[in-house]
Amino acid sequence: MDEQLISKKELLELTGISYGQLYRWKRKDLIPEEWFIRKSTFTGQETFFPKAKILARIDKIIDMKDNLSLNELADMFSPNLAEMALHKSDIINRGIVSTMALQYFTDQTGDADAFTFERLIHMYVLDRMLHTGEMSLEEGKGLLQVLRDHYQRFEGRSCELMLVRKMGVSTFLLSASPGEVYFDNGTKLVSHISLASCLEELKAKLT
Amino acid sequence: MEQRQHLKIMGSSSSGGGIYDKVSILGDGEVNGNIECRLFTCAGTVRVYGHVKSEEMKIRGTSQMEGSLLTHKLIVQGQGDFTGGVKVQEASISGMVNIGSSLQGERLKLRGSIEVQGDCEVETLSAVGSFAVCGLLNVGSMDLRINWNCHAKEIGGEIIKVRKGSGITNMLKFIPGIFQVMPDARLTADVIEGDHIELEHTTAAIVRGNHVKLGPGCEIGRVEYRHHFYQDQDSVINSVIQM
Repeated sequence: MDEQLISKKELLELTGISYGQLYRWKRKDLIPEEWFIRKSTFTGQETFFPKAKILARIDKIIDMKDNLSLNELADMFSPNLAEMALHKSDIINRGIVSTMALQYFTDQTGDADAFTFERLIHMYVLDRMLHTGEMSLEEGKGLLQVLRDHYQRFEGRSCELMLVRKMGVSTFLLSASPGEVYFDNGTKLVSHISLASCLEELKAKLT
Repeated sequence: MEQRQHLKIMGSSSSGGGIYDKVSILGDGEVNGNIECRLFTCAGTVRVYGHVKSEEMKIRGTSQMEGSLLTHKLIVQGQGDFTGGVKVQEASISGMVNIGSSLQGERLKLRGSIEVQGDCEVETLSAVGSFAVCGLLNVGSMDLRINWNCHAKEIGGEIIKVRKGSGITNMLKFIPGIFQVMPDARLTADVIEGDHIELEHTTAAIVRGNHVKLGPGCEIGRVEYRHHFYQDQDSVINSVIQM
């Protein structure tokens, strides 16, 4: 999983932010520690960032910092689950997930008037996976099961979800990020999504 | 709220931890387990084998915590050793503190010495004592008066001000001969990055900032600045680049 990196200097030039802002956002946990990649170069030690992730994050921070306080922003980016619940009607009205995903979710896990944030994120991931067309409805059961049983173990840490298939048999994997996973040749990595970014998207939709 | 009890240890005793209003240790105490309280005071010796959560912690004796600490206010006048991470709103340290992991805080007032093995993130740091940070020292604003040697691997922040302290050790150096053996107190760091940087008596490989002002006694490998740069004639700088 080779990502393109950007040096701190280039990042500041590109985005126009100052060292102080970058450090302040790091202190406020708006930029996760694991994105600070220290490497030694011929000029001494330099800090690098995963380019796509950091640029997207900084765009978002600059975009929203006038409306939200830094602490509210930090809540949004944190891998912790928010403490909130949403009514079933709101989920549909606000278009958070598709009605089909909601229907399937309630068929599998039971109906309710209101859903906790934890169940919302399960629903959201389900919806997203179904939308990409990479996962069949039948496989959705496996997805919901792995999320329900194991997602809580990653409390406060970011993790990734992978769907792999071999000889028509599919398996879901939840792994802590950053981490590396390798498969044998016969295995196909069908889908690979970051749950931290799902959380971020969901929180953005809710606020 | 339920009525909380006090935990008092006088003499030599141990406790299993728990939830209390006040915890005070005057003799030699040992706590085996997590503890949550409003006020934690120690005037003797205490060892805690667990995590501590409190509103206020005062250490006048010595304390050794084999866990993390989460507190609103921390006052150390004796010695405090923390194996885990420390999270504090307001800390005033005039004794000696060792932190095995990282320190996060809003305000830190340092008169004694502090050693942090991991990173140190503080909004406002005002220091006349000495510090050693093995990782990144990330500050909103730092005001350091150097009297003793200070070290951090990296320093980053908005306002970084380092001045020569007016402490007694520096005044005594004016008396020739006797105090010459004592080396000059300096701040050393690999990299210092910030918006406003004012340094004196600092050794660093790289200094990067918008406004950089280097006073007497600086030894800097490379300076990269955006808007302003000033250099005292009593400082040594290898190269200066405007970005």
